Order: sequence, then structure tokens, then C-alpha cells
Amino acid sequence: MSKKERAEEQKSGSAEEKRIDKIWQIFSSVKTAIVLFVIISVSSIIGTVVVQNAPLDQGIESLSKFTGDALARKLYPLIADMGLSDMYGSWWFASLLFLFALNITICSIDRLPKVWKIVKEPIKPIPVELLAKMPVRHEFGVKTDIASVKQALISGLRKAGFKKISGAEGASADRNYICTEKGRYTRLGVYVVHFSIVLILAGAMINTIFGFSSQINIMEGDSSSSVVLLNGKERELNFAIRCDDFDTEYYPNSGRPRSYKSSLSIIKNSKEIARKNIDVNDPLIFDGIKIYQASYGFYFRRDADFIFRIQKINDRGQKGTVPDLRTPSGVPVFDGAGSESGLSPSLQTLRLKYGETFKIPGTNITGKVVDFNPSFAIDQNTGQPYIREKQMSNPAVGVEFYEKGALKDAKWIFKRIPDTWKVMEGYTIEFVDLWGVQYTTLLVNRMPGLPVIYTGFIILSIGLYMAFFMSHQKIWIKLSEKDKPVKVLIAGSANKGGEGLKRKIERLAEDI
Amino acid sequence: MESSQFFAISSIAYILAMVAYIAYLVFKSSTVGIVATTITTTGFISQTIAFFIRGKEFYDIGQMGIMRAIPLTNLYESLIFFVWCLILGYLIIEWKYKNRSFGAFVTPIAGMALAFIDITGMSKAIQPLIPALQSNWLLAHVTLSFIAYATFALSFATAIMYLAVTSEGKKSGAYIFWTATLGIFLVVLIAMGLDFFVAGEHLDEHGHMVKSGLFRATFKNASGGVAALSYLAALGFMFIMWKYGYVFKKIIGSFSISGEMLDDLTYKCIAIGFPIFTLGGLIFGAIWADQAWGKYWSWDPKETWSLITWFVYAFYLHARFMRGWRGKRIAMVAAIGFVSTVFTYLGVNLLLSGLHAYGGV
Repeated sequence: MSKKERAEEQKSGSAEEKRIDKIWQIFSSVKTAIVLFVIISVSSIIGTVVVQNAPLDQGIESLSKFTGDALARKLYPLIADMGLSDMYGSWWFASLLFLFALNITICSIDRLPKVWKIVKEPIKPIPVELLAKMPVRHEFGVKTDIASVKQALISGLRKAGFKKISGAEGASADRNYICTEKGRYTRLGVYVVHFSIVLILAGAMINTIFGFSSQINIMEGDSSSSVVLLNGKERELNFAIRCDDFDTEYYPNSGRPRSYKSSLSIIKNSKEIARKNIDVNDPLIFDGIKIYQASYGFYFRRDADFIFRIQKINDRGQKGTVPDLRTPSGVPVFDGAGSESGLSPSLQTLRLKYGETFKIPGTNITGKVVDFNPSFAIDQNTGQPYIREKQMSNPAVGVEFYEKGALKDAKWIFKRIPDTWKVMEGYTIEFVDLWGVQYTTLLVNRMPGLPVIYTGFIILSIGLYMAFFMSHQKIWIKLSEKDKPVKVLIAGSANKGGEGLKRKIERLAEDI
Repeated sequence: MESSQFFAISSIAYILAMVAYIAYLVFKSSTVGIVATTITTTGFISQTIAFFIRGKEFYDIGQMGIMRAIPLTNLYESLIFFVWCLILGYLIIEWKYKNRSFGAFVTPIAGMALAFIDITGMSKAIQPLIPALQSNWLLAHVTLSFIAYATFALSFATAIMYLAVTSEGKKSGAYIFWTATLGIFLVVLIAMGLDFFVAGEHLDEHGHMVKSGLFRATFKNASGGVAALSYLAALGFMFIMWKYGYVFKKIIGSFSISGEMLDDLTYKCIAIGFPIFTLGGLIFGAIWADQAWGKYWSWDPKETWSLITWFVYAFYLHARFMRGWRGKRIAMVAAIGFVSTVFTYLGVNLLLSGLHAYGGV
């Protein structure tokens, strides 16, 4: 609807129509857009200073960096009461985003007809006098005849990407007048961008209404069919997730994790229907629900399984085959690093509980699990071992060895240090895992709006390219043969980036 | 040779170039100008070599293939890359516009970024990729973000130059704005320079260099007197900037740089940076976040601040095209845009916490 039409309608319209018109005008103004930019920005800044969705003490701690501890203690609960500690999830922030989407939509609808008119209208020859006033001009003389100059210009234009050249087929009245254009549709780039932003916001809204996002901690060996939503409520899934194993791999000689992964099974009606080892950056997707590896933790249980692998050192340096390690429920355990050295096929894979004993095959030596440390470290002052953190970052198991009932040796065997596995002449005891003490933290979500959002991303990319790297370029060429050398006047205009067009025209002139 | 040696060469080169470009601005000797360009180019080549060597070192340590051997995984590496993009962009502008005077405004930004590395004592070690960073999106997301940051830095330099050239009268808002902004930048630069000279003094009880020693020599000095004096000196410096800012104007004015050209250059930098930032920073970031964290957008401080930066530049574009803003007002918006960019890049990691913590000091 053009402004004129609207003005007419306003005169004849009812009071209600006037009101609607007024609202329309407010939302179609760039001023509103700018005001919204500012309001959303300022409130977002508050959200980055006040830690969101965090426990009280954590919120106070992070605020104290800006205000000091005493003030933060008083201020943070107040802020939390105002709803600013869950700002991005609040109704008013969502409304701001909604208004933003509305504003973009109405702005675009308001301006689109005018632009559409330009886009729909092909280039027309303009009077020669006006060509002299065009922003880009180039004038020169050519000695050859007019027909070949015209031919050369047309092929030059084609090469430069101008496909439709009017006047070329002699359809126009003036045979010595050529005009052409390209990129007419790129004028819509801005609106393509606006549309894609609305689409992305719509996708986000679909996710908020129809999707969910939740977390769940599952111990190794346990399963769960209910997850905890962000607001703390529980939600039942129509299947159960079982964590068969969890493992962290570290870079050599460093506490930096290289990967952490969970072996998950999906169980429905007590039947296993899917299984995957998930990793950060590699989720399990089942029935539209995605399960991500988010974090992990350690929780000691006395009934957990110590898994050992006993091997005999092979003189010929033959590579040992990797034995199949399985948990009681028959699912595999992530393998340790043992199989790379020159070891024979394993003699025995053991799983035992704290305090239990085992026998090294072919000898009369028995071992007994007497101690465990998930993150073994030595105190530099006292020289005593201690538990550095409640994580399996450097697991070590204390084993006592007996021969004929007499204590022969006591050793720490480290999961991550193969040198400590060589406990007896000719034998290694690899500490594969303590299974059942780690839990995996999974992020479970359903985002039905994701395809809409991704479509929005693609359209946004296209729109940005149209809006910033392409332009609507028009070229008019007038040839005149009054004088002996043929006079060529090339004029052009572009809706942005005039230099590109200028260069094109110069190249066109050079070629002739 | 190791990458660190080439990086050291380039750091020295850029700081020398900064001096040379400022000397060029003052003395207008074309010999000095050529020397400045030569030093910058040498630094750039050295840095390019260093970047490849570090990539190779990274590849050897990580053993994860070429796509996972991009040395862009911590603050140190990202600052180095930012400077590389900035210098590349500057050299292109110098070559295209045949004008060296921008150098005096761009090289201090580069010098500041490099000085920041040594002052804060941030880790320069190659850190193998933590699981969240093990993605092919790392390359696309990080490189494009930093290319965009560099174009924004260039637009900041030209916007400040524009304000310097066009503002009239010491009491006009534009004059106060540009002298204050440039003043703050220079104060920070000088304070970091002082940190750099007294850096060795700050060792903790284990004899390790104290991290984040930023402003420890001045504003955050253990002695309250020195700190107070620093603030006073900073205020005095700002006053001098305000009082004698017009000298800058005269100098720049003598280089046949028109305000129109600076305005156009500012716009061009933003017109390149904005779509790259949207695609690389926001879209690719969202896709990666969806894959790694299960949330394409989680209002993490880094995300929120990039959105704010995006809004500022969107504001710039709309004000320019829809409201017809030109000149001083729009140049101020461009300058604010870069302040927001700096906060997105550094402020978030230094002051706030969040999912992008690997970019911290």
C-alpha cells in the first residue's frame, strides 16, 4: 500500500482503522527499529553482567567482581527477585524479540511495494541529454564503422555478465542506442535478510513452544527415562537411556582432556534399539531427540568393578590382540591403551570388587585390591599421596601381592602410566578401568524449529551476499556517427559500489 | 627456526612501523614513508611464515589432521591472527589508496594487541584441542570472526580520522568524542607500555610471572599513591589531547585526505565486515554450538556481546541508508561499534565468564 493510498483511506476510514494505521506507522519506522536495537542491547548487557540461571552463591560471586562483595550480597537477591537472573527466559524479553520481529516484518512490507516496482520494471532508454548527468560516464572515439563497434560493445557487455541487452536486436527505435542492466533482483537483498531474521526468530519460537531442553546425569551401568528440564521439573521420555560406559582420554603428560565419550544405549520396552558412542561434537539422534555429551563427574561406589588385564611380556615383540572386554550386562568397556606394546594375547581379564583377591595365572602369586585414588598426586611438602580432585583424572589402584600368604609387594598401578603395569617378572597388570563410579552428564533436547532456523541461516547468507556484494547496475550506450571517428558515450549507474561499474565500463572501452 | 622467533620479529617490526608511520605523519618525508611500509611488509611476511610453522607444530602435537591443526585456539593465537588480518587489510588500503597516513592510526592498534600479549603474560604454549574445539567449524568460525574484527578495527581508524578532519571547535560533541576516544586508546597503550617495562617485578610466591598484570604498573598499582597519580596523569593526558587535538587535524589535513573519502572507507570496511561477521561469527557459531553444546544460542556472554556488536553495526547501516545519516554522527556510531567489538573480543573473557572461556588469559 503506498503512502497516498493509505492517506486516502485514513480520511475515509473509521476510528479503528485510524488506530491500526497509527500502530502500523509506528512499527514501520526505522526509529522504532533503532529504539528496539537499543533496548534489546541494554537489557542483554544486564544479562551478561548478572549471571543467568545460576545458584545464588555463584551469582553473588560473579557480581562481586563489579560491585564488591558486601554490595553484591545485598544486590543479587534483589536482582534475582526482579527476574533479572533469568532474563532471557522472561516474558518481557521474549516480547521484545517478538516486537523486533514484528518491526522488521512491517518495515519490510511497508517498503517492499516501492522496491518491487523498481525490480519489476526493466531498464528503459533515457534521453541522451540525461546521460551526461549519470554518475559514471566514459566518452571516446573509435575509427572503425559503427556496426562493428556496436557488435564489439555487445559482446563486451555479454562477457561482463550483462545478458539481456535491449536495442541489440533492433527492437528499439534508435539503432545506435544500447541499454542493459543486471542484478535488478539484488535490490531485494535487504528484504531477504529481514525475512530470514524473522524466520530464525520464528524457528526459535517453535523451539520454545514445542521443544524442550534438559539435562540428566547417568552413572555407568545405570539407565534413566526421565530428564530434568531447565526449570527443574522432570520430564518422562518414551524410552530409557543407559550409560554402558564412560571414559575420559587425556593428552600425554597433561591434565588436558583429549576426549570424553559415553557409550549409550536406547532402551524401549526393555529392548535395546539403538547404541552409539557419543562424543562432544557428535551427538546421538533418536526419534527427533538429540543427546549430547555435556559433562561428566565422579561418584565413588564400593561395589564398582575394578577391571584388570593380565598379560605376559612377549619376547618376540608380537602385538597382542585386544581382548573383548565386557561389563556384566554384556556391553563393551572402552579399552585402555595397553595393546600397543609387545605383549602376548591377554592371559586373563579380571573384574573384581574392592578388597577381593585374584591369582596371576601360572604362578602362585595372588593380588588384592586395597586402595583407590581417582586423581593420584603427591604433595610436594610431605611427599604423601593425596586425592587431587573428585575426577578420574589420574586413577590409581593400590594392590598388595602375596606369595603363599606372605606379603611380597604393594604397588600403585596407574591407568594412564603403562610403566606401572609391570608388576612381576614377565607379567603386566593393566588397570583398565574402575567401572561404575563415573557419571555422564547428557544434554537431551528436542528442537523442532531447527530446520526453520537452518533454512533461515541459508537465506540470511544469500540475502547478505545480495545486499553487500552485488548491485543493480545499469548501462546506457549511445553511438553517434556524425563525426568521422564513431563517438561512443557510455553512461552507467549502480545502486551501490559505483567503482565496480566504473572499472567495468573502463575495461569495456579498453577492449574496443 | 621456531614460530616464536618469527612472531618476535613481526612484533618488533610492527612496533617499529608504528614509530615510523607516526614519524612519517609528522615529518612528511617520503623516505620515512617507504621505510615504514617496508618494515610493515617485512613484519607481515615474517608473521605469515610464523603462522605456517606454528600450524605445523600444532599438527605434530595434536595429530588430528590439517583441519584440526589451525593455531587459533586460545587468546594468544587469536590476537596474533587478528593483527595479521589487520595489517593485511591495512596494506591493501595503503596500496589501493596510495596513502600512508592511515598507518599511524592502524599500527598502534596492532602494537597494542601485541603488547597486551606480553603484559598479561598469557600462555604462548601450544595447547592441544579440548574436545569442544575438535570440530571443522573451528576454522570457519574463528577465522571469519577475526577477519571481521580486523575490518571493524580499520573502520574505527578511519572513523576517528574522519572526526579529526571534520570536527570544528573544541566544544563540539564530535571533537570531544574523537579526542576522548583516541585519548583513552593512547592512555591504555601507554599504560600497557609501562606495564611492559616493569613486568619482571611481579612474581608470585612460586616465582611464576603473575598473570593478568594489566595496569599493574599504573592504575592497579599496589601503592595507592601511584595508582592515584596514574589516574591524574591519564586525566591530564586526556586534557592535552583535547587541548591540542587540532594539531592532529592539521597534520592529517595536509595529506590530501578528504572527509568524504574517509567516510566512504569507513562504510566500505563495515560493508565487508558486517556480512562476514554475520556469517562467520553468528551463523557458523550457532551451527557449531548446535553440534557441540546442543544449543544454537544460549545467551552466553560472548554470544550476547556479538549480538550487541551486530546491533550497533546494523544501526550504522540503517542510520546511513534509511535515515540518511552522514558525517560526524555516523562516524561516531562506527567508533562505538569497534568499542563494542573490543569488548566482545577481550572484555568478555577478562571480565565475564561463560562457554567461550578458552579465549581467556
